[in-house]
Amino acid sequence: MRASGTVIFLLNGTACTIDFHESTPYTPTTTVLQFLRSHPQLQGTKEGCAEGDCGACTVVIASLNQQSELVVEACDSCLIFLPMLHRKALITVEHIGTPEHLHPVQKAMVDHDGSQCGYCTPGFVMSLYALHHNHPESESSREVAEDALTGNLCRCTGYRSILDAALQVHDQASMTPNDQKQTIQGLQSLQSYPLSIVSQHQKYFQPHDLQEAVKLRSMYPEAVMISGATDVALKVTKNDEVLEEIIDLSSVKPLKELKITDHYIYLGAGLSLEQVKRTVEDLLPALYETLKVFGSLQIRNLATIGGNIASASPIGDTAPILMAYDAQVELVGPQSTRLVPMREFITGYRETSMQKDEMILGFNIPIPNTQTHVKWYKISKRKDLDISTVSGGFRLELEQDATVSHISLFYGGMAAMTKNASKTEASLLGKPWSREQVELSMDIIDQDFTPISDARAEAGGRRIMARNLLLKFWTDTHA
Amino acid sequence: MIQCKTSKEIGGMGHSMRRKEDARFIQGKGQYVDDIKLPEMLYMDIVRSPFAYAKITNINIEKAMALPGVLAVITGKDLEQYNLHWMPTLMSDTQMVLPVDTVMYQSQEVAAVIATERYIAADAVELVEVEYEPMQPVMDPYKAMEADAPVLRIDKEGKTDNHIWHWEAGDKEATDRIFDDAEVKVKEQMHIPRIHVASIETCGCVANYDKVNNHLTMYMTTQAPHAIRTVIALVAGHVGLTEEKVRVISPDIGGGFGGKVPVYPGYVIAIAASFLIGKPVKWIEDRSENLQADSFARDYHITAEMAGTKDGKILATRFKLLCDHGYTDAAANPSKFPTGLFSICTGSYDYGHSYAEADAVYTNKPPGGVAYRCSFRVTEAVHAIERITDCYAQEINKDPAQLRFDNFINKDQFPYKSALGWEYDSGDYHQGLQKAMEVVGYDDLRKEQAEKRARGELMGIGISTFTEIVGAGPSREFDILGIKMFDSAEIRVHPTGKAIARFGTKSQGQGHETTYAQIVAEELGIPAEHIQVEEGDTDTAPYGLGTYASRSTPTAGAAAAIASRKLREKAKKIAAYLLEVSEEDLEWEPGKFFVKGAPDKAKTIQEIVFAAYTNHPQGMEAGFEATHYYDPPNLTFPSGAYICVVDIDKETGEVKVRRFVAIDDCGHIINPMIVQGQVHGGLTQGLAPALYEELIYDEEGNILNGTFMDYLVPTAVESPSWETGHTVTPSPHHPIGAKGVGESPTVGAPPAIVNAVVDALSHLGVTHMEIPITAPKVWKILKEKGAL
Ligand SMILES: Cc1cc2nc3c(=O)[nH]c(=O)nc-3n(C[C@H](O)[C@H](O)[C@H](O)COP(=O)(O)OP(=O)(O)OC[C@H]3O[C@@H](n4cnc5c(N)ncnc54)[C@H](O)[C@@H]3O)c2cc1C
Ligand code: FES
Ligand code: FES
Repeated sequence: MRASGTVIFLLNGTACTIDFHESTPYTPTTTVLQFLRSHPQLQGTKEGCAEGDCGACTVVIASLNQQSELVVEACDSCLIFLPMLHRKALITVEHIGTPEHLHPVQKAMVDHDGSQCGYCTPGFVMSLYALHHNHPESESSREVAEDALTGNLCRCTGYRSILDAALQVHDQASMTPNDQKQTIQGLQSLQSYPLSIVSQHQKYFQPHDLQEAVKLRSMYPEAVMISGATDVALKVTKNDEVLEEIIDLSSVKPLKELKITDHYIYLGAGLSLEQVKRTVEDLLPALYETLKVFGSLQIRNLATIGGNIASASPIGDTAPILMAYDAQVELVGPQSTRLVPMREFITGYRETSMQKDEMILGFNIPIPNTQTHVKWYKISKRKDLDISTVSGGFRLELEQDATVSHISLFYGGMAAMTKNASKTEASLLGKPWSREQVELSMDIIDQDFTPISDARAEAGGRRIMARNLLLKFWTDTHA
Repeated sequence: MIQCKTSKEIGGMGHSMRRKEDARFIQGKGQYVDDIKLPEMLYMDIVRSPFAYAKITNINIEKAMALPGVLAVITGKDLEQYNLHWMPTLMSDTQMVLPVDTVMYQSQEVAAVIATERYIAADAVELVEVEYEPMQPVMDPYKAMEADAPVLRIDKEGKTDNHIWHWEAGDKEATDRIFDDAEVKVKEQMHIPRIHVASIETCGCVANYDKVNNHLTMYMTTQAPHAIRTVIALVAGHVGLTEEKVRVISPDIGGGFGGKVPVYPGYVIAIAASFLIGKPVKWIEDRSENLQADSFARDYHITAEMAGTKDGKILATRFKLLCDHGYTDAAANPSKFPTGLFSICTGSYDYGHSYAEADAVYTNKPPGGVAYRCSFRVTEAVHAIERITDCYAQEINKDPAQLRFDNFINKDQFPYKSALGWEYDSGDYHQGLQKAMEVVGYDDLRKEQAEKRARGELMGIGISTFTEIVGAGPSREFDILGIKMFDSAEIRVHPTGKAIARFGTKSQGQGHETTYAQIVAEELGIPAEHIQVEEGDTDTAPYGLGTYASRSTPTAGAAAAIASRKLREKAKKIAAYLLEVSEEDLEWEPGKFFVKGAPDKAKTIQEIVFAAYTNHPQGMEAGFEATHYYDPPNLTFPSGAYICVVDIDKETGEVKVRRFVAIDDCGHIINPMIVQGQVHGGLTQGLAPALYEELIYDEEGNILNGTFMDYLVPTAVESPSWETGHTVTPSPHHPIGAKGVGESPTVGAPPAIVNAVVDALSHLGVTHMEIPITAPKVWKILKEKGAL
């Protein structure tokens, strides 16, 4: 397989190539939204924020999974770099329905008055298209619909009419069987090769196998790695940074590994958070709860668990909970792989113990026994699609007599990095798990953290939240 | 049920006709400003100030100019040569287009880069080197009013303080006397914070100056294209852009909510750039620019007082306001109303005395004061009266619903002269509240609340029974920069009976293409399907003042009805001629004239129109066309009765809106589906400031939440399942008895929500909560009151 500088994908059903080595108006970090908006015929997709918050730019991306099944997902096109479309199918609002034969979701939108100014509408239509594909009418519930639409802001309708439309799409499926067949065939017909784009100002690699990825990492130690790019894309769209070297890990198969044994779950770093969410519902319920309110569906379809941990943000949501689960990070470098306990992996504000030639391969997460309580809490201003003000991943084990035999209290948003409240933990260990004791220990949290004030909360407010989360943990776990 | 006079095929008033505009919107075929691409178009991006208050000591454009693709960097000094560096605001204040030496707020425009590509312009913005000498900004309006506060507007000759204007209404002495003697007095201090309209489309334009013909076409996100054309001519007439040389086109607008009424510096710079370079220039704000630099609303500090008897009769109200306008008074009010229509603050209640006074002040915030989904400060007024009414009920321990019933203006008192001088046209407030209470099950909820309270659970029921004032307005009082606030319709029916109707307003989601067609259909019997509605192009549409303040239906909607009636008069003459009878012998039913007593002898409107072109009576003007400029005799006064039920999570302080019942009265309803959609949207925009939205500045003048990541507008999850209904009390003076509805819910919802939260906490001695009511705020109060 020779690497090439030509990105090939299906654009509304037709194969489309972009050769970055030829003269093209695009760069490897041109976003799919910018690409669409540069085409007079494809301007239906709108920009509302260019940072993943509004969903006006929602498109549908279809691809084949390892079993050659069609996966259909709504994504924010403002966060996707063009080469990430390689060997995928991009579907935009222009492709579905015609004036004479509206697509069922379009018809439902008209019937329920789902559009007012119309600016958010194409984005909603595409979210509904994916929703309707993935949840045929029998399964659609208000909860599922709300989940599919939290990533789409509308300032005009108040959402009621759109939710009504979402629940009353009947008739046929989103994609007719014939559409599906054609898309699968179309995707299969696209040649498979890794990307290696070397343009005047930028290098962009999209390797297929792990050795190649590791090799590139050693060759370009300053390169930015991307998996879902939801974090990295903002550097380009918001801060106008030029990323000179990029290693795109999204096509490296071993990073998508998923293994479940009796005692462990192994999650490849490249699994999307939505895939992880669907996998862990029963086995790791607290991680499931975390992911239920993580960003929006459009974000979770792109963002990966590896990217979330590697970004080492103090308000990253999966770090506290993976720590509470006592997960291990598997790193891969040129020589070997190694395991690092999650709680030692993050070393500072956006810093990790990963070496310059390493990357995250996956996470080994022990499945707790039934006596162990693991819980996750998040305080944010808005329920969904909002980053945490304070979050907590907590773990508790009790003796027969209800004294604490193990407790971990990992907090996000309280310090420059995800950090455990060690003094508070110590104050609880060996003590009865009682309200009195917990209230005493709540006062100790102040000694563990000196939080900051920002637009989300005052430092004092954060302290109060941290205390409350502990109390809530007690309420949820005491017998 | 709404009675329809026309058949479904005609689709006149009362039909839930599907929206005509949806056909393009759901297929992504809307044409918004950013979708406009012209040959040789250039892109503009703006260098903005990182400081809230600073001297500019130097601007170095060399590096930016050296970037390939950059054509120009425009600074205030460049504009100064053409005397275009300042512009008037709608309130006859002044505003910098680009600064020559001082920036007055964070994110203020400092320079503009013009380049061949959007991303080149963005890169060049980073290369413009500006040296600033920062100064300590004044962010607190109370501090700005202090005697030793630094004077911000030294550009204004003779200015010695930061005071902008003083306004008052009502009889102060008489009101004070009642307060002095009253048995019960309540007083509350409230802040309506600065918020943002946050339409999903930002602001932008494409300015296309054609040097050869000396003509400017301006595609622009504006709710008032005609007024903008006049403003452009006033500002740039001296460089040759007189009004006939300017065409403003407002394409599809992705939400306006008042934020797209003012003229922002970016528009003017784009015009200047196109004028200087001779090529089209596009400027589109990104989200952060939009949230940080323009489209701001509210920021009123209100002290509200109410005086009454022990048993619950309201006697008087008093209001004192401090209005934070930011750096300039760029509010979009009618000229004679610096504080908008705040004087509707006497509310839905019958009492004799009120006094309101306001002082406006400059600070180092961006210009504020757009009429965000609100007929000019009505939101502020309704918040004040509906909150203070509840405070009064709480003080005398009376049920807030009963207190309202006991004080409502009676339906037979209309037209009613309010204590601050408005003549309310019509209303039936008792019926509205009665209905809302039935729908929500008020008595049961009160029982449930008592039980829950006994168990230590927190639940509250909040009421808001507001009166709005919309449809500005009668020309004797209402103008913007001198232009009277009438609006217009022009209807042209083609020989085959299909029509085009054009208006001086501009829809931004309200569905004008559908509702105006329905009004014409109602009056002329031509199916709404066959009536094409056009707005927003000043070359073709008749002059009007635009769409905001719920004025479209009250003004242009009325114009549509009257223009249609003029045509019906003409149709009657033609029908009489064709049927060879006298006009008196004819009777009208939607779609045709027939001879009284002989329904078979009839002419359809289509036949009549055809005759107007092919066989019209001698001496009659050919064609079938009418125009009307409607100058409303009064405003219209929609009302509503809203009830909100909240549950509060004691552990976190989180407020959950369990139910929200909104009974609106907007007179006759043109399209029930569209009205319901407007109400849902407005309610969500009322929920937003009540629970979530507020723009936060630190003392240095930095905005702390100027992105969608931090400025949280409600999503589908936060928005309750609104329960809506209506009563119908037509406006007696409006040709179709309609009142305007788009804004009622935004105005009426916040106090209902706050009243519900306060009600949930009233037993703890809580009398007021400032918006937005966030979880930590509630939790803190619970903690202080020892309720945890
Ligand atoms: C609208 C929006 C909402 C969001 N909401 C949330 C939220 O609720 N909670 C939350 O925690 N975050 C949130 N985020 C942040 C972001 O989505 C996450 O951090 C995401 O999980 C990152 O994953 P990614 O695959 O997109 O990472 P990328 O952007 O691809 O990468 C992020 C970082 O991880 C590194 N990296 C990626 N893969 C690997 C690997 N295999 N090995 C080593 N390093 C790697 C990259 O080099 C980069 O430094 C939100 C972001 C947006 C835009
Ligand atoms: S433009 Fe807002 S999410 Fe992409
Ligand atoms: S219809 Fe206007 S933003 Fe949704």
